Amino acid sequence: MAREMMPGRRRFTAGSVGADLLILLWFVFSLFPIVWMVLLALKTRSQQTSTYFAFSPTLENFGTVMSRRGEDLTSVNFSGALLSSVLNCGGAVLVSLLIGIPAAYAAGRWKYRGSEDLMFQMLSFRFAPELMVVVPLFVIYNQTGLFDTTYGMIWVLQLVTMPLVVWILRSYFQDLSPELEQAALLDGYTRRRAFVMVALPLVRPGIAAAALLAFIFAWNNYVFPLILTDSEATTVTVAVTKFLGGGGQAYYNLTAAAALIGALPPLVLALTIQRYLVRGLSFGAVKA
Amino acid sequence: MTTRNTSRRNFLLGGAAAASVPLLNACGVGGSTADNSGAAANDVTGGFDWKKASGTKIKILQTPHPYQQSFQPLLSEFTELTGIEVQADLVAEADYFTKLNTELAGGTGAHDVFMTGAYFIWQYGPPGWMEDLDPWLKNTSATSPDYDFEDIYEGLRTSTRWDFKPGSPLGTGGQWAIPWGFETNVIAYNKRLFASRGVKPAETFDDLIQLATDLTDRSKNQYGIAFRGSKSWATIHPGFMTQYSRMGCKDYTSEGGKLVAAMNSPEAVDFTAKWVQLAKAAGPTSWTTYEYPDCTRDLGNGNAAMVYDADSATYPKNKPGASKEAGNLAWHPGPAGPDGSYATNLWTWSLAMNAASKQKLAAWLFIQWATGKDAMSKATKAAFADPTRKSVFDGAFKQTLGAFPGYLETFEKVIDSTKIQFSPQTKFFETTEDWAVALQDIYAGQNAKSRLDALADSNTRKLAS
Repeated sequence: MAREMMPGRRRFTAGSVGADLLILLWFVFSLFPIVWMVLLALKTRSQQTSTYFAFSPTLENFGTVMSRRGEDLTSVNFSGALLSSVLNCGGAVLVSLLIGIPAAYAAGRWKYRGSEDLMFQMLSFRFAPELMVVVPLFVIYNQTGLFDTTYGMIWVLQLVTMPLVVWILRSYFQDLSPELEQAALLDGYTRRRAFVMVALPLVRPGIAAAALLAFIFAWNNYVFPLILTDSEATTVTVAVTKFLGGGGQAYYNLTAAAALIGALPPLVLALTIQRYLVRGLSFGAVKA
Repeated sequence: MTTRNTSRRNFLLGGAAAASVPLLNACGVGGSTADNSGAAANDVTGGFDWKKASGTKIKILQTPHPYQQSFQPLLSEFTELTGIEVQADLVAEADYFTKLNTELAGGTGAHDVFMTGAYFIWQYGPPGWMEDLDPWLKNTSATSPDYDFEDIYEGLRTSTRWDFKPGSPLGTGGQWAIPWGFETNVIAYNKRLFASRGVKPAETFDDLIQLATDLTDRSKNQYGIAFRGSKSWATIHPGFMTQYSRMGCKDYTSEGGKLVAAMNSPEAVDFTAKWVQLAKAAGPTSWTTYEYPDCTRDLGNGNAAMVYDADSATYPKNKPGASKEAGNLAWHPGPAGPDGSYATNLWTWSLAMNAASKQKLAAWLFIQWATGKDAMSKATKAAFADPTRKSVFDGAFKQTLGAFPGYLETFEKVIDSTKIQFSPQTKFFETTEDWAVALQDIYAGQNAKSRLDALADSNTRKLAS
């Protein structure tokens, strides 16, 4: 009779050890670009193109990227771009949540003629190649004064954030039993109050997950800020590439340092709301 | 130097612009207000005065580059001289032309002045996106008597002038940009390594192949020569086109006003096969991905003994602390052709005016100032390599060349033969990228003659359509 394994215990066999080693190798291989970027960010300019691991590490690049010294050296105002990214993406997510949550609730609760078409239409914003819509947007933005402004970026980023928020939250509202709100209605709640007091608190993990994903997608967007901003509202993704320089004068070490700094805000945000995120992403994963 | 890829992204943008801008025009939104007839230049009358556009503000679009960085600290001097405020916007080199293409296609005049390469004039000029600067140059009310346009090297002036007629050579028609900084394509080499091996730079192409092969030692991660090999038009224009021209080869011949591809001529096939053989025997092992930063990196690290590319791309690697081999680099014109030709292809970063600009006088004053003797001399003392003016080269630039062995001699050897060696044509980027693909195919083992026959046939048909 086969001996049953105790939960939490496993038998070590050559096969399982080999599998673990393979996974470990894959883990190292997958993470290597990140490791390389960290190493590059710690190198001086004369060491930046060397492929050796032995070098004298310095944190100076991070200071250079964020300071006036870096701007004088490369003409890139990275700290300004960082602030712009926070404002653009934070604003875009906020607007998407304000409009997208009621929209998702309505889409999740009521079916009407063309409702699926409408949802698909919204999703199709994510499918459209940005380069195909950016030229008319560029012309319109120049005509309306939205070019190179935070308001303009918040608006255009709705193409990125709104479909995510609506589609993710619609599934949460669909999974939520309508009896809860019906009970509240029986108790004399208005539909709006039932939504705010009953439904909304129950999908908080979903809101956190949707907001985080929308923020990350907005943060990573490149084409819209590239074309629709110049110096005032430009973002981290565009500013990082400027450190690459040109004409044989590249600052790979500063590029790596800027990229690491640029990756921090979404990372910190993800860690902060990790508790909600894990619950949120698994919520509704299994449907009857 | 150029990684400037007008690739799928720009084609997409071109298509989007073509489709959307007329539609927006029809709806009464946006569209081009461009007028490049020269009327704005003719409106400027009276004596010349730098303050004529005082109180205005212009925007310039640039890419991060030693040229741009050398001028950045001088912008306040321009404002002081003219009373014109300047906002300089930067876009990374890899996406610079994507952004510029969108702006010009949109016709909004968002930026008044922009950096451009001469080849891009062939694409941006015909739709009327660029201002003809000839009327501005000729108007003494708009141009300072001290400007001295003829002081700019002739090969550069003609490279930025064209009449947009297929088969018509450069040097006729409008002046679409003013050359600002430029680069010749020559050989930079590691003189420490050369001295230790007791060798000298090659004077003929066959000798170059032999020398590069001799200097290749794969076991020590060292190879003879680096040049570009990626799937990009920019692979063709530096070392390849320079040596191709020196060997007497042409890209196209003009027959009755039509261009006929000539990259399958017997001498072109012979040269191309040898070039690819050089890449295999003595080039980087991942040659088909190589762009200029890869080449100069390997030279700076001591992995490549030579680089055949832009002189100003290798120049920064010799500055103290800039690379492992800093101080060990030297320059040589590269092999002469069988007839002693030093025909050399060039790249010039030029300044052009947006035809849709609403501040054309201020824009012209900026271009005039930035390409003038005083500002260029000051910038050259910072990091501006290869100024386009002879007087600045002979003055400020020669003073900075002390630690750069052979740079001056090389420059003087090739400058009279330096010009754009390509035939101007509006499908330059597409057809020249096809040329790079053909090199890669030959590198992969295809027969040079049949592959170049197919390329020539395809390119001739593309230009006829």
